[in-house]
Amino acid sequence: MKTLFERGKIKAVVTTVGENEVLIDDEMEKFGYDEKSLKRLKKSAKLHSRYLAKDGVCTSDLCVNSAEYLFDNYDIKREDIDGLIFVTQSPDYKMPSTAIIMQDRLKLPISTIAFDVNLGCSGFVYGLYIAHSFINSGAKNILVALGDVNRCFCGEKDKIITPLMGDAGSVVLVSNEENKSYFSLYSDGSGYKHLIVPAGGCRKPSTEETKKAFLREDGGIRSDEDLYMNGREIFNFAIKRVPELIEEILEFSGTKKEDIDYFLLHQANAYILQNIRRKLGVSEEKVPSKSVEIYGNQNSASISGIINGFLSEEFSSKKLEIICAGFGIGLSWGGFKTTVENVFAPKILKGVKID
Amino acid sequence: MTKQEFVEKLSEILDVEVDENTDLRELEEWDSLAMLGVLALYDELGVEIDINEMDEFKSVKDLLNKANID
Repeated sequence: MKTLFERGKIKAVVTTVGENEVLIDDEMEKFGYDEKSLKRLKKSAKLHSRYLAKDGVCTSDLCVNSAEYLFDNYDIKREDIDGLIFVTQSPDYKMPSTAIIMQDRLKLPISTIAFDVNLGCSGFVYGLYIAHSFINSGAKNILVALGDVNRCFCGEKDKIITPLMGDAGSVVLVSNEENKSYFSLYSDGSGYKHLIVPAGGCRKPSTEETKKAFLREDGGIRSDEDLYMNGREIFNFAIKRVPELIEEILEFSGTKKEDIDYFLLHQANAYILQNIRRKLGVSEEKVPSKSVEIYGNQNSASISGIINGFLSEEFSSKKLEIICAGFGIGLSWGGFKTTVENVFAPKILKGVKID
Repeated sequence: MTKQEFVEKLSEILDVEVDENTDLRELEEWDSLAMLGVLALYDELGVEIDINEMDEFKSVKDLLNKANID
């Protein structure tokens, strides 16, 4: 679905990553790489490091840390927040929605709309879409919390997906100001099996069997309660759908590629980003990809992760035309073009204190 | 794309020199990462491919045939 919102402006972006920096070189043994394949992974997939949350730290803790930083350092009052949307696949509990617990932790008014959204790599775009919808129906300020702690669903020794992943929790503040944003969102459930935790839900309840991790045909060690990824399918999906999506948003918003300062793409992995960029025909500076190399794939927090990780000064001091695009689990994908100006975007925060 | 250009690109993807007679099954470099590289190359060339076909390729010649390059 395509939507033009007349109101809504991103005013602040804050991201907290897990405090433990882990180098891929130190994970060689755990994932069972030999020297040669490690060298190839470092060269082609640009695997370098990732930041992981300490044991006991949940995604909500990282997001609450980001939100507290926002309230302490930016001119926004807690009582002026109308909604808190938490986009995550690693909630505190199966139920209730973690966003409601966060309303209380953050001392937001009880008039706050609060709920969780179960989305991953497309989640930044969907979260921002919901925020803009609320703004355009009269809300003053919406806080979108985003992110995941990957140990909640990634097999510890699964070399297929786990080495790519990093933990992060962001908050994005959207306020009711005149500003045009052009969104386009898609879903294709026919690909649901390509990124999935097969067991532990109603369809296939948790049993002793589904908890057992073992070596799979693709070389990964995981249980049926861990996340499975068909890398080839996801790669093919991303390099086909994302360039199409971006071309569509450019046309919809009447913008040319050269007018866009940054294309902020979900940081899936360096290889996917490089191929999307090649198809779009834009320069490397305009498509940041360092975030996935340094911090890892941060799911729904990966786009905010680029802003705080690498573009803090640019976003804090300039007016920028940006296109954001997320894509992945679902399959679900979407993007938007918007204008930002002097965003409160501090450098990335590392780690959180647990009370 | 000429045969030579394709083989050069493939050597880059595999990180090892190959020619049209190379047997992929004997190359440890013909791994999942290399397959992504070939998918990207086919995408660049506008070659439609079913993902599962990737497992059927035995040689560099097979890859050239799929791309209709002789």
